[in-house]
Amino acid sequence: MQSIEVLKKLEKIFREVFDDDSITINRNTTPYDIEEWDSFEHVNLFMAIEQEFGIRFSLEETTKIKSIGEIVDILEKEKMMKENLKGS
Amino acid sequence: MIIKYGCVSLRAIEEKDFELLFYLINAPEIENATVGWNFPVSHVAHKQWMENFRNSFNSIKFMVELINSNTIGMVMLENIDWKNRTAEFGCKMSASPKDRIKGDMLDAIRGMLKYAFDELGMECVHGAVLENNIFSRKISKQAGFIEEGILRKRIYKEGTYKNVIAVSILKEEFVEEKGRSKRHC
Repeated sequence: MQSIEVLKKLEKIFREVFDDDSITINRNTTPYDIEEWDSFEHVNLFMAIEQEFGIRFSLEETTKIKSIGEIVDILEKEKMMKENLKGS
Repeated sequence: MIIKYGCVSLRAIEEKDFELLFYLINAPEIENATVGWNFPVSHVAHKQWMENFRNSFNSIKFMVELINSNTIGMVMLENIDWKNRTAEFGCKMSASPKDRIKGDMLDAIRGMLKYAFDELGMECVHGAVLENNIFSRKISKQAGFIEEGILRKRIYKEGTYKNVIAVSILKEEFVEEKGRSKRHC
């Protein structure tokens, strides 16, 4: 899964969670860029991301991730690990 | 007096708050996100603390209870200086989204500020947030706190010295968000 594809999926999740179709995101987007992105919505976001991508973030990851790029990196790393497991 | 603001009530610590407070004092993810620190606290020590705790002239702690009856955390005024009319604000929170109401912590902060300014006669409420704690910085700005400056490498956590942002709000800067209760609660 390419970054652009992950970003598109994440953007859809962000639009749904914040109920705002005008939201656009990129790797550098942080909570400072989206007014409604607070600690409350942060948890909702990660629950939605976990559901969409079929993964579980650790508590440490959810509390330390502070940009879209960091989320994308974790999702891609997880994808690679799954592919490697399939191949072995 | 119980303080009501928006969708929260700020009330005294009760026996039923034992587990939440025990979690708040021991949870690594909370300690790592805040400026304070503690050695691990045992059940026995925590029980003794709860039995002996009384709000005092220089330290006030209230539990944050929502209109849905869930208790989500605690707000504090510490180091209350009655001569200079200043107090240090702090808060800790932990609850799952299903138990919360959007904007609950902002209401809790504003409720405590209103109490500090309108009941205790404070002139300035100040606080400190870790520079890398985006959500704390965002909510403190939303509540009206002004970032005064950076205290460089002031807190040592997780193997690194972290910058701290000093924040404050004056009585004249505190603006209540009128009508919030109708929109959110």
